[in-house]
Amino acid sequence: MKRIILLTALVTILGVSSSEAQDKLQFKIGYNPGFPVGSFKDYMGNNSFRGYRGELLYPVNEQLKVGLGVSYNDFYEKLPRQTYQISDGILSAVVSNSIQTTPLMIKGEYELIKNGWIRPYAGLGAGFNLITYAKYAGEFGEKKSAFKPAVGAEAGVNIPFNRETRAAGINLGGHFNYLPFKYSGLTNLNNWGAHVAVYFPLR
Amino acid sequence: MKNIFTIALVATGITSMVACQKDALKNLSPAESRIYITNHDSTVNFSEFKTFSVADSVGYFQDNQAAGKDLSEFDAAIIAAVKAAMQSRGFQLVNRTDSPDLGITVSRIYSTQTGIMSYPGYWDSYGGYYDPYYWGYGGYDYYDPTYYGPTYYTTFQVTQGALSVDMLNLKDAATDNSIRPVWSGIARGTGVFSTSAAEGEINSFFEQSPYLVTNQ
Repeated sequence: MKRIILLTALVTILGVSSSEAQDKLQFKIGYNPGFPVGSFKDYMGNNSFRGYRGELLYPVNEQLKVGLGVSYNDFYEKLPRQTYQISDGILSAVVSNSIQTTPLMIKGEYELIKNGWIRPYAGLGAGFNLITYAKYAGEFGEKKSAFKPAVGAEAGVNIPFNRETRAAGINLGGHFNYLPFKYSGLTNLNNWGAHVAVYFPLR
Repeated sequence: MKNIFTIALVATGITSMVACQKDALKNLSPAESRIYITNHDSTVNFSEFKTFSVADSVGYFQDNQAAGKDLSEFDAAIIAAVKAAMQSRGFQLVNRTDSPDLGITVSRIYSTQTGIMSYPGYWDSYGGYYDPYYWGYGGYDYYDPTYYGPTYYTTFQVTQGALSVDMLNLKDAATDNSIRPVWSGIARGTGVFSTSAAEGEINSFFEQSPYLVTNQ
């Protein structure tokens, strides 16, 4: 956690000190908790507070940016010991569910206004999701990795440090990830989340 | 210089993401790491059995081969716990020479293999250690417990030992011309052979086997 705080502080300093123009490639990094929804919530009772995101966005014009985004969430839950009917017997175990999602998406982000300190935006993304899945009964279990399609939508506000250059600032928002994954009773890993990030120009 | 700094930041960010994963296995206590599996012959009515006897030592099997018998502190604790649990369910403890209805054996099963192992594999050597003569049925064979379908034993990867408790139908051995296993319990996980865990392991077996009860 200290490393994340330090990283965020360094990025912020870098962003503040930048006087680059707004048409530069932009890097965004931030904190990204995730909250399961629907059938995924039935499977995974805990939210993910171990989540991070990074993006590289290129400004096409004053309001539209396109680029590549990656996010990560670690979902983990340990269930109290209980019995399960298996094949021809009864299993008593503490079951642990562990799922990591890493959607890697091509993204577009559109700022709704051209001026002001607080600039609302909406974004869409599509790509692939790297999934690691593990389910344990006690210390015995199975692991699986998969690469599945991913679609995401988000909305929020950008708050630039400099209203003229808009090259660096803070990003606040919410997002929804549609992440299909059919395996062992799971049909998807859909989740929504809030995020806070800092962005700054790379060149 | 700025580019190097940025690359370092990105690398640090990626490393932080990967490092921030809860390790499910490291977040388990020894007790939580253990699993208990019980199975039984669903055609058997356990209330028809009244008496039982427990083998006075524990057999251990290495890679499905009988490797000897022992009576360590843990073994004695397990045998005592089995006796107490059976008595709490109404069964009467008798000497093995007094024609018990049920015979109970306790085994420690070790495997040095990694991969999928069929637990009933130790049954091939079972008679070699637990001679049917021990129960007063010399010349009889043990019936393979897979007849009541414990195929689940093949589903777990084996990297360590397991505790196995088997219950044998001695009451009908003469009628069946064989000794049929009617119940089994398997415990696996960290500290499964810990003396302090013995009573809890047997209690877990019996808690998930409510049909193991009789009236005198």
